[in-house]
Order: sequence, then structure tokens, then C-alpha cells
Amino acid sequence: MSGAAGSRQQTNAPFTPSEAWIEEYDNQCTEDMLQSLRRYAMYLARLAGDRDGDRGATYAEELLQDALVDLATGALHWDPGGARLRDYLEDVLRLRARRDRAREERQQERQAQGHRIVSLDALSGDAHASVENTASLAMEAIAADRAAGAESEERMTQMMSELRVLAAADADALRILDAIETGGARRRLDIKRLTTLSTLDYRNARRRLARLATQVGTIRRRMKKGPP
Amino acid sequence: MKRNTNPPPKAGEPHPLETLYAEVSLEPAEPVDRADEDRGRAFARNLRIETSVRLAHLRRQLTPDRAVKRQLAGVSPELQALARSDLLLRLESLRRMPEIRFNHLKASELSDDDLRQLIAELENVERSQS
Repeated sequence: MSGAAGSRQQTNAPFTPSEAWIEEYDNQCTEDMLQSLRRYAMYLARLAGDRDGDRGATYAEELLQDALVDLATGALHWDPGGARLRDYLEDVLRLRARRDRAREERQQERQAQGHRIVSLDALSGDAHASVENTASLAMEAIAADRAAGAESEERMTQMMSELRVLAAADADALRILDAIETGGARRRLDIKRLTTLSTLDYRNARRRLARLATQVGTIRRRMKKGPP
Repeated sequence: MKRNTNPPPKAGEPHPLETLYAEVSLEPAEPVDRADEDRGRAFARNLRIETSVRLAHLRRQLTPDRAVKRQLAGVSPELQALARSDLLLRLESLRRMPEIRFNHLKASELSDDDLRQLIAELENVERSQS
């Protein structure tokens, strides 16, 4: 299992949702929705270092599977009256992918600095003398988490700029980017409304933009790895 | 109704790039990567089947009699008559099909009726593909 494992809290009582909850889940959890959430998770996987191709697909699938397992076991609490299942799961995937990225960035940074990673769980009786040192490492981890968040934010902004360059010749695709970036639209209906495109033009532009979005990640990874 | 009291995920505002990713993921990118879309379709189908089994389990916790009747809809009499050991053998042979993958399924946690329902659904998929 990758870092996609969810943070499940253990409870003794079995999860017993209402019949209405089960019905809503059953109705909204369609194969189409699952397939598009897998695509979404694959985009999120590309944000992290070298998760592309099969590795990215596997990570995305585990991320989505874990979220569904956590929903069905009650570790995640979805309220059908509050949000559509798709929107809720998008939030879960996005936040868990962010957490995984921050964790990996922190680990890479530590490895680059030559730190040995020590887990409190792994401390034996003989190692108590090093607890103080471990506690300071934990403090460092919190600070690094925050730093990784800012770094990740900066990188996403940079990727958005690169996407805009790639889409420079595509006026309709630029309208979608404008609606999200300048217009601040976050909901699907708002994004489409702000573009003022027809449904057909909007869908075509979105599909072209989807391809460009995959290219941004690829170019960045090649630059990172250097020439073959 | 008992409900888990864990708080919902804290949804920090999505970055515009994450919003864009959510939007463009509604459809495959153009031109379509057929191999990945096929893998995605098979994955979604299997995940949906796993979800059906889990939901059947949750339904059975609520109203056992009604749930069992609902759960066993579509299960053939032949499947109904099989013992657990035979059901496990049959499931194992289905799991060897390349297009079927389970990462979270533990047969030991499924009741005999869960197994019958799962096999019936998998055999439906197999029939629809052949």
C-alpha cells in the first residue's frame, strides 16, 4: 500500500448508516463517477514528483479505493444532505493527495540533509536518551509540513502559468483558465457560465485543456530529471 | 441511527489548478488514451461491484430479512446450492480473469450470501464481455 492509505479512526461500534444514506450512496456512486474520480486522482498524482504512468495510475486507484472503503466503514462521514458524493470525494482525494505530497517532500528534504528518520513507535528502552532529540525532530516535522504546503502551492501556481503558455493559441481554453483564475469560479456551473461558451465549445475546449494539463506535468518532470 | 462522529475532511480552499483538474477530469483528454481509459473503465466496474457488496452488507445490518431477499436477487438456484468451499473455488477462478482485480476484498470477511451475490455480479460482467 502506498501513502494513499487513509487516516481511519478506530471505533468499536459498527457503522450503521440509515437506509436513506445507503440508497443515496448507491445511486450516486456510478461507474462514470468512479472513472472520472480516477482521472482526477491521476492528475493529483502528477503533482507529486515522479508519479506518472503506471505508478501514477496505481496511486490514484489506491487513493480512490481507500476513500470508498473509509466511507463504507464510517471512517469518513459523508452527509448526503450537505454535498453530492462526487464533490465530497473530490475534497477527500485532494486533501489526502496534499497530505501525501507534503509527507514525501518532508522525507526527501530530510534524506537530502542526511537525517535518519526515527519513529517514536520504534524507540526501545535503550533509546530513551534520544527522546528529547526525537521530540525536536517532531517539531521540525510540523514546520516542514507547513513549508511543504507553501512550496506545493507555489508549484501549482507555476504550473498554472505554464498551462496558460501552452494554451496561448486556444482562446476557448484560455476562457476556462480565466474563469477559474481571474473569475475565481470553483463550481462547475460557475466556470461554464463565466466562459460564456456554448456547451459544445466548452466541452471541446475542456478536452483540449485536459491534454495540455497532462503535458505540463510531463515537461516539469523531464526538466527535473535532466537530459536522458 | 448510529453514526460515526468523525469530522468531515477539512476542505481548505482548492488551488485553481486543483479546481481545473476536477473540471477536466469529467471527460477523457483529447486525443483519448484508449489503454488508460480501458483500464479506468475496468477499475471503475470492479470498484462499483465491491461497493455493491459493501452496501449489501450495510443493508443486512439494518433489516436482515429484507436485505437478504434484496441481496440475493439475480443469484441462480445452482449458485444458491453451492457450499462455501465451492463458492470460494469459483470466486478464485473468476479472480484470475485479467480484467478483474480486487485490492481490498477479503473473502474470509464475506458471508456465504455475500459470496453468491459477488459471484453472480462477476459472472454477469463476464457474460456481458464475451
